[in-house]
Amino acid sequence: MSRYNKIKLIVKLEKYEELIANLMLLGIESFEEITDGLVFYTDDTIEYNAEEIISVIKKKFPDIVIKLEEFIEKKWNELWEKSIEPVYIKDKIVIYPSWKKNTINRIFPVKIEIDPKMSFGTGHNGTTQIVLELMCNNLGEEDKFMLDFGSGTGILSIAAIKSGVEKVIAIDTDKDAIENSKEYFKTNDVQNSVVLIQCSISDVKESDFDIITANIISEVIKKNISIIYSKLKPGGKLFLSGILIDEKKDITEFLQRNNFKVINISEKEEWLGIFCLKN
Amino acid sequence: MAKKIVGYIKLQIPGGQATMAPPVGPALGQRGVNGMEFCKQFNARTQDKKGLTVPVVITVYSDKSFSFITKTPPAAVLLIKAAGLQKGSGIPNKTKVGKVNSKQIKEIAEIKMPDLNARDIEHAMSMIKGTARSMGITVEG
Repeated sequence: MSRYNKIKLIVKLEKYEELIANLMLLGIESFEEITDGLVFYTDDTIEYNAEEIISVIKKKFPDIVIKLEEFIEKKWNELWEKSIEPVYIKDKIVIYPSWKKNTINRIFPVKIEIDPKMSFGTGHNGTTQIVLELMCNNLGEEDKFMLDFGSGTGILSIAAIKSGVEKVIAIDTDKDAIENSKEYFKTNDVQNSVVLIQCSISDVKESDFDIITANIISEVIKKNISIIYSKLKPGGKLFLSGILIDEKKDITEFLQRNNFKVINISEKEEWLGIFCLKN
Repeated sequence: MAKKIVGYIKLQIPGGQATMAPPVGPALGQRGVNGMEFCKQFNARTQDKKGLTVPVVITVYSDKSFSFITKTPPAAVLLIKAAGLQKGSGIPNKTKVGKVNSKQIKEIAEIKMPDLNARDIEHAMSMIKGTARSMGITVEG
C-alpha cells in the first residue's frame, strides 16, 4: 500500500479558487472540498514534498490553518464490498450483492442479485423494503401483468417476475436507472419478461394491468392518479411507497376520493407503504 | 423510485483518469459509495476532458446508490493550459510563471460563466484575471 500525506486546509470558500490555482502550479491536481476547507494528498509522485508545499502555502496565505497527517492507504473497494450485507424480506425474498452470493445458505423463493450503482432501489432503503413486503403478502396466482412506474434498479419488476408475474412493463425517466436496470434484469435472468422503457406513465400504451407499483414521491403519484386508475383493470392491485408517514391521512383520503379501496398500510422508518385495490 | 439523499461529496479530479487512489477512494469508501463504479462512469463521461481537473458533486442516497454532476474546470486549470504551462511548473509568485492574453481570458471567462457568480462577461473576466495574477501569470493586451 502506498503511503500518503493528507493535508487539510481550513479556508473560506472565497479563497478556494486562488488556493487551488497555486496548488496546481505545485503539481496538486486532485482535491476534496469539505465543509470548512480543502483536503489533498501528496505521495512521491508529486514534484514537491508535503513540507515544501506547506511552506509555500504558509507564505502566501498566512491566515490559513494547515493540518498535516500521515495517511495509510486502504483497499477501499474491498472495504465497501464487505459493508454491503444481504437484505431479507420475511422468509421469501433475499437481495444480495454478487460478491456475497455464496454466503446465502438458506432457501429463499425469490433471490435478487443487485450490486449498488447509479440507480435507486438497491433494497437497502425502507421504501423498497415496505413495498416488497406488501407484494409478498398480496400477490396471487391471478396476477400476471404489471406496470412498474418509476422502476429505478428494477427491483420490484424482478421480485414480481420471480413471484409468478408473467410480463412487466418497467418505466423510468432517469437514463442512469434505465442503463443500470438493463444490467440487473440480465443478471437476474428476467430480461425476457420485462419491457423496459425510458418514458413517463402518460406515454405507456398498454392498459388492463393486474398490478401497478409506484415507489415514487407522493406528488408524482397524486399528479398521475387518474392515469394509474385508467391503466389498472377492475379490482387491480396498486402498491405505493415513498410516501412520508406525516402524509398518511392526506394520502389515504386522496386514494379513497379517487376510487381506490385501501387494504393495508405499513410503516418503516419515516416511510409509508400502501396496498389498495381499484374499485 | 423515492430517493432519500444522505449527503454530498465534492471533489476536483482529472477528467478521464479517476482511480481509487486518494482523494477518490477514501472520500467515497468512507461514505458507503461504490468507488469503482464511480470511477468507471466518471471516466466515461469526462473522456473529452482528459488532463483537465473537473469538479464533480456526488449525491449519496440512503440505499448506497449515487449519482453525480460535473462542472466546468477551475479557472486555474484553464489558465495553466492557456499559458502552455506544465503542472508543477513552479513555486507560485516566486517568479512570473507565464503569460496569457486578453482573448484567452475572455475565452476562459466564457467557459466558466455557468459556474461563476458573475454579473456579466466583463465581471467574469476580471475574476479570471485576479486568479491569473495570484498564480504569477501575467495578462497581456
